[in-house]
Amino acid sequence: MSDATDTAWQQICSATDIIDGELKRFETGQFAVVVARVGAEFRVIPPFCPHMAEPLHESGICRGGTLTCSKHLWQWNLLTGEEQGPAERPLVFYESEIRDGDVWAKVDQELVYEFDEEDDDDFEW
Amino acid sequence: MPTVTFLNKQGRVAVDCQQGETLLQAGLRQGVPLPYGCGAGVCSTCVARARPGTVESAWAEAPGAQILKRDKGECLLCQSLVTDDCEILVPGKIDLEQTLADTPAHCRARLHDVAVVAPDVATFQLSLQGQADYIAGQYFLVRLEGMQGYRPYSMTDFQREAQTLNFVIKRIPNGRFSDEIFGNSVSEAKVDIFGPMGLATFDPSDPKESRDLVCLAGGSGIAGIMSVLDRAVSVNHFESHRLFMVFGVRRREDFFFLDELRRIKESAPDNVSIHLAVSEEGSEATDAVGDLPLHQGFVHEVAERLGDGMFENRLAFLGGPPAMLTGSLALLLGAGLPVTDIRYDRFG
Repeated sequence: MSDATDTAWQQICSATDIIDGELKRFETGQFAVVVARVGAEFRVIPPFCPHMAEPLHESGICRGGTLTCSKHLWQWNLLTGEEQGPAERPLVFYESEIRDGDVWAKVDQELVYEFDEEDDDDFEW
Repeated sequence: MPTVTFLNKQGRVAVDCQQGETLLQAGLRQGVPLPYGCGAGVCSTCVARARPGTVESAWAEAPGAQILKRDKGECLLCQSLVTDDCEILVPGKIDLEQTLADTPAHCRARLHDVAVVAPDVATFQLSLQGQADYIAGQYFLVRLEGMQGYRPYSMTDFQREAQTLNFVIKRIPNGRFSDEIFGNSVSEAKVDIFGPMGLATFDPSDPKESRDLVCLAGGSGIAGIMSVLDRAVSVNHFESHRLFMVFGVRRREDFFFLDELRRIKESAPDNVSIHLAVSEEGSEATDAVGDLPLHQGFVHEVAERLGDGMFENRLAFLGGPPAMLTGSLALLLGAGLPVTDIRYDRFG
């Protein structure tokens, strides 16, 4: 468990705010996160799809531990972040834990996806 | 005529671009396997990058353009026009050495036989200058002559070497094409079309598609599904396979295509199960419309209530507004269908 006095950690929501298979967006103060629940497990992720930045609280579907973005059907294992099917980038997670029935996450730094492909760096304008 | 060079780390390919043609149309027409979904500025599937200032957008406010990082030269291929030679960086996964086997093409056509079939829905026909082959479930991009921008419309039946294409259109507030159709200002018109396009297709001659089907449709989103079902009936698909279908609208008076659905049901009554749904509470729902059972609720809700055990190992076709698609997708994924067995176009 993290150091409870660590100011980088914030209470995001109550565990009971989210039912199994649900994705919900929350503001941390400086930026937004999405909290996902798979059974008794919670994951705190950036609010956008790693593909084309679709808002996951609207386009994301969580079923059986798999997150699917309905926009282009990219999928991930929600517990590990690993890509499934056509997805080309993994999910990233904020460090998180349950404290006294609340979801806490280490949100001192916003996690962002690098949307540019390797090719882009070589493309001289 | 400008030359457009599509390139990525895997290679490059150069094609001609006709006046007024989008980069997506130029590439697909000449066999370049470019990614796309709607072809009409909505779904963002065709994002690529151009040298800043080298392409113009036909529709800068397109819904799909809202996510673009314009400072990096991102553009939608389906909305990009060029007047001079240019280079376009496409996603690295695209194999530019490959060539599409079936390529869409431009065609002129005559729009006629507009018929209002429900308060906010009309059917229309296009007579082609020439003929077209398409796979059941595909669509054409249609543009009224003199009007900016193409809109995607799925065919509602299946024909080979078609000289006339059949479509359905929903009334959209302030939609120019829709206004022209429903405003009775167009009973006949010249149109430009491009196609066929779309991957939400059904080909029962492919052994991998010799499957039971589930079809969930909302409003005019039933169009492509009607083509899939027409194709299925034409080869007696439902003599040996089952169909579970829910077709939903807001109110009872909004239904259309009911005669066609009854004929599909009658083609194999033991294997075909078609249900109707009305979403508006207080709508005058009774037990049935004709001999098709009627239920209260959204399409995915009704499908969930009725479809226990109906989804396993089936090939699914979806069509409708975004919320209906998301709800239906969640239902089918929850039932264990892989995304590769769930097909729909992302028009909205």
